[in-house]
Amino acid sequence: MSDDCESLIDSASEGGLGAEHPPFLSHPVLVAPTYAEDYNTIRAAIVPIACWRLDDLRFEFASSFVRPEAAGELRHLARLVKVHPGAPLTIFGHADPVGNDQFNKVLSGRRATAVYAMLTRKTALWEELYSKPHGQDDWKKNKVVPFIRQDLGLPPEAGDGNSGSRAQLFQAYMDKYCRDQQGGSFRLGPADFLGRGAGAGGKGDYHGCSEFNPVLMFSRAEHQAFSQASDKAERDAANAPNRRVVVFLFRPGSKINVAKWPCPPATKGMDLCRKRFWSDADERRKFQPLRREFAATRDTFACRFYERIAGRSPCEAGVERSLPTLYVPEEPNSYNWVPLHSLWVYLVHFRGTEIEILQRLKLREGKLCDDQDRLVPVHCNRHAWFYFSHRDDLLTLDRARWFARDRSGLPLVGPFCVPCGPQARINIDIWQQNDWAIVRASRVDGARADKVMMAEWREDYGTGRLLPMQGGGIGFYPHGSYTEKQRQERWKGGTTLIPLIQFGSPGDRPMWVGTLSALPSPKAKLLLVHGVLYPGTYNELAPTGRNQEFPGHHLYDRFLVSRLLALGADDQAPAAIDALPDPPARCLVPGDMCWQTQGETPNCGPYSFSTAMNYWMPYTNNPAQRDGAWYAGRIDAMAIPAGARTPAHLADAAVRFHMNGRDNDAEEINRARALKVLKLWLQAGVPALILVKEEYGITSYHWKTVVGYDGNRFFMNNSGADNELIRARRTPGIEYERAPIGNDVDSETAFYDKWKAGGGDIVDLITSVDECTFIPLFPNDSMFGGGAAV
Amino acid sequence: MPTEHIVQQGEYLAKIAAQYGFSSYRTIWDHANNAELKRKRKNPNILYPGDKLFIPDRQPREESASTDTRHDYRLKSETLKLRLLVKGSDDEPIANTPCVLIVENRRYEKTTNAAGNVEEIIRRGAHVASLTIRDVEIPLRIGDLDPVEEISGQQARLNNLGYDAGPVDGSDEAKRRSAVEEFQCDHKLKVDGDCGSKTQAKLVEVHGC
Repeated sequence: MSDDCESLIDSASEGGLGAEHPPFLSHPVLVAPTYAEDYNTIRAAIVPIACWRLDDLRFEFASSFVRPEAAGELRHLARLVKVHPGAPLTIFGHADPVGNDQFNKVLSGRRATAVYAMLTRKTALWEELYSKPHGQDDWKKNKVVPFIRQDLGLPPEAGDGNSGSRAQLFQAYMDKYCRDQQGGSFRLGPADFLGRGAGAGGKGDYHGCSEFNPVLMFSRAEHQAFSQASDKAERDAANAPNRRVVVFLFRPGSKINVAKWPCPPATKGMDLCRKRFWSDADERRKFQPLRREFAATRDTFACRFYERIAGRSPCEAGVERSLPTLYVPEEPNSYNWVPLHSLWVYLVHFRGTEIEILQRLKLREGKLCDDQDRLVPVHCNRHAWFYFSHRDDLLTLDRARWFARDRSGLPLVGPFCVPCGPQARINIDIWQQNDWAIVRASRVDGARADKVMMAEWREDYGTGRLLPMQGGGIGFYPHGSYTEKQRQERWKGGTTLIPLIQFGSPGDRPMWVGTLSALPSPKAKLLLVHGVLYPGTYNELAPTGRNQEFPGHHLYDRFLVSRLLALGADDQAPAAIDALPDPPARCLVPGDMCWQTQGETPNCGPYSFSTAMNYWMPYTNNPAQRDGAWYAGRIDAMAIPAGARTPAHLADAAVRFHMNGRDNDAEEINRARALKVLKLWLQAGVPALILVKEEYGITSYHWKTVVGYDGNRFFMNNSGADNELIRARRTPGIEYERAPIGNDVDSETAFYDKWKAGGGDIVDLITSVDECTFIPLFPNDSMFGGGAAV
Repeated sequence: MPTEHIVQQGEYLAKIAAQYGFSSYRTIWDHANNAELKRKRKNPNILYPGDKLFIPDRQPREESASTDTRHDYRLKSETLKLRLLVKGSDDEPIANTPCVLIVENRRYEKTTNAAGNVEEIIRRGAHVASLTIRDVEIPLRIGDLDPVEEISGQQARLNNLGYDAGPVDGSDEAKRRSAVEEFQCDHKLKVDGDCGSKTQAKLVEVHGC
C-alpha cells in the first residue's frame, strides 16, 4: 500500500488499520405514482462507514489471547468510535484457509469473541475461552494467566487461581490496554453493537467467518509447494494477512433485526454461513492457477453477505488508483450523460478537514489530465471533492480558506467516491448542485441553428463572459479568442452581424455547464441563467430549496491591494510603481460581471458603479432585470447630483455602500506607469471605474468599468455593456450602433481604424482615457465585508 | 388525428394523458389499440422508454340538460397519488413518525401511519420530490421506476429495498448480482443471481409495485 493512501486510512500500524469507508452513494429513489393501492417501499440500507482491523500479530500465536501490543490499535478504534457517535459496531473474525472449516469457524469466532469481551469487559467470555480450549488455542497451556500476572506486576503464583480471581485479572488486563487516545478508559456496552446484545451467542455483535473470506489465496503452485514442505512456518507466515479480526462501524442509528441477521453466532452455525455464499463460492474457495488478492481480483470471499459489507472497505480491499471518467447529465433531469470537458478541474482530497492533495487538472472527454495531457490516476475508493471552473488561476487562492471541506469557500462538489477499475466513471449531477450557477443554452448562430455538441466548443474555449445578445437573451462569449476578431472583421465588412459563438436564447438544448460564480444566498436565485433567459429557474434546479451562504469566489489579492494603497492616491512615486511586479494578463470572472444598462439616462456613473458592485455582491442586483437602477436610485437618494458624477461622488458612494472607492488621479505620472497601476488593481481582483473622454462628433466624458486586459487591450463593461453600445442614446440625437465590445471607443469605425493603424492587431486603445482617472472599487476589510448593501 | 406516443424515460401514463389533454388516463389505457401494451406492462404508471402508446382523438362530450336551470359541470379525473412505505434497516416500518414530503417545491408536513405508510395527492406530471424523515433526506424521482421485467427496474427496486444494487445504468454488474442473490436468499428463492420471473414477482410484492 502506498504512502499517500493515508488519508482514507485513519491509522495504519504494523498490527492493524483503522479507516473511513468511502462514501455510500445513495441513489435517488425511483418511484411510481399510482391511481390504485400500489406503493413504493423505501428501506434504509445497512451501510458501513468505518472499519478497524486487528492483525494476527496482535494475538498470541495460534491463540485468541489479545496481546498487550494491541493497545495502540485499540486507541485508534476508540478514536473511530468517538468521531462516529451512535454508529453501532460489529466484529468479524477470520481464519486462514488451512485446516477444516468447522475448526476454523470456532477459531475465528474465538478471536472475535476475545475482542468483543475486551471492549465490553465481559470477563466471563474470556473465562469461557480459558476453560474451553480449542486445539492450540489453549489459554491454560499457553500460560496466559501467569503472563497477565507478570504484565500487571503481580507476584507469580502457583496455578491459575479460581474463576473469580481470574475475572479480576482479566478485568485489570483489559482496563490496562483498552484505553482511548487520552489514556482514559475505552469501554463499550452491549448497546453499542449492532445486535445490541440481544442475540444468543453475540449474534449481530461478533462473528466467526471461519476461512470463508480470505484476502489472499495462494496460487495452485504455491499451495502445492507449501503442502509438500515439512516446515509449515513459511506457509503460516504467508497466510498471516488472512488471520484477522475486522470491526465495522455502521451509519448512526442503524438497526437490525437479530432474528433475521444472516450471520450465525461466533463459533457455530456454519450452515447459515453457507446459505449466504455466492452461487460460485466453490470456485472462489479453490486454489487457482494464479495467486489472488481480494484487493485486486475481488473474488476470494465466499460469503456474499460479508463481501457486501466489506467489499469496499479499506481494511479489506486497500486503496487503489483508477482513471475515472467524469460525466454530467446533458441537461436537468436528462438521462443522457455526457463526458464533462472544457473546464479546469480542481480535485481535492482531504485528510480530516485539512487539504491533503489539491490538483488542478484538465479535462479531456471526461478524463483527468495534467498540463501535458497525460492521464492522471486518482485514488479510488476514497472521497474526492471537485471544483470546476473556466479559470486556471484558482491555485493562487489561499488554499485552506477557499478549498474547504465544509464548502465555506468555493462550493466544492462532493464528496464523490472514486470508483476503481478501467471503466470507472463518476456521475456528477451538476444540475442538482444547489449552489452552482449554471449556464446552458443552445448555439444560435445562423450557420447552425440546431445545436452544437459540447465537444465542438472545446477548441475555442478560453475565458469568456456572459453578455446580452442583440437578439435578446444572454450569450457566453469567449474572448481573447479568434472568434472575437472575426466578429470585428464582419462588422467592418458591413456583413450581417452574426453572433459567432453564442450560447443562449431561444434554447431547446443545453450546451454548456460550468460555474458562473458561487451562489451566495437564496437571493441569488436569479443569477442562474437558463435556456431562454428567464429568471426564477433556481427552484427548478434546486427542487428541495436547500441553499447555503457562500461568499462567492472572486480572486481578491488583499496583499497586492495593500501595496497599491501604499502608493498613495496621487503624486505616486514612479520608483515605487516600477518596483511592483509586472502584471500578467487577466480578466475578472466574466460571469460575475452582469449586464447593466443606463438606457437613455445620463447615469453612466451609477450604472458603472452598479456593474462593479455586481461583481462583489451579485445578489444585490437582478441581472435578468438589469436593474442597475437600484444603485442609481440610491445614489440619487444620497443627494449626489444626477448625471455624470465626479470621481469624488463615486468614491463617496462606495463608502456609503460599505466599500472603498479610491480616486486614483494619476495625472502626475506618466501614462505607462498609470496603466501599470490600473492593471495591478485588476490583477488584485478589483474592477475599476474609469473616466473616458470620447470624441466622435461630440466630446463627452463617460464612465465605464474596466474588468480585465490581455497583452494589448483592456476589457471594459460600458455601463450598458453590449446593450448600451447597441442602443444607448446618451446624448440626445446621437445614436451609436453596433460598437464592439471590449474597447474603450464607442464608434466601430474609430475602433477599427485604430486597430488597423496598430498593424492589424489589437493595440492598446486607452488613448482617450482622461488623465488616467480611475476608481478601483473594493471591499472594506475582508472579502465581501460590505455584506448586504445599504 | 390519433397519434403514437413513444414513451421517454420519466414518463408515466398519468403524465402523458395530461400532456395530451385527457382528463382520464383510461381513455388511452383502455383503448383497444393499447391492449397489447396493457397486457405487457400491467401498471399504466410504470412504462419503459420505447413503449408505444396509441393516443386516440379527444371526443367532445355532449350532455343534455334543460335550459332553464344552472348546471355545474365538473371535470372528472382520477386522483394520482404518491404512496410510500418507509422502513428502517431492521425491516420494520417507521411508524407514526413525522416527515416532510416535498413534491415540486410543495411542502407537506406528514406523519407516517402505524404501518409506516405516507401518501399524498400529486399533480399529473410531477417528477422531482423528496422525503425527509428522521433528519434523512431521500431524493425521489417520480415516474422513473421502470417495469420489473427490465434490469433497470429490478435494480431500482432492489436499491429502494436497501440492497444497493448499484446505479441503474448497469455499470456495476457485481453489485447488481450480489443484490439479486441477497434478495433471493432473504426471500427463500433459488439463489442464482438471475432475476427471473419468480424473483421479479417477489420484487414487485415486496416493493409494492
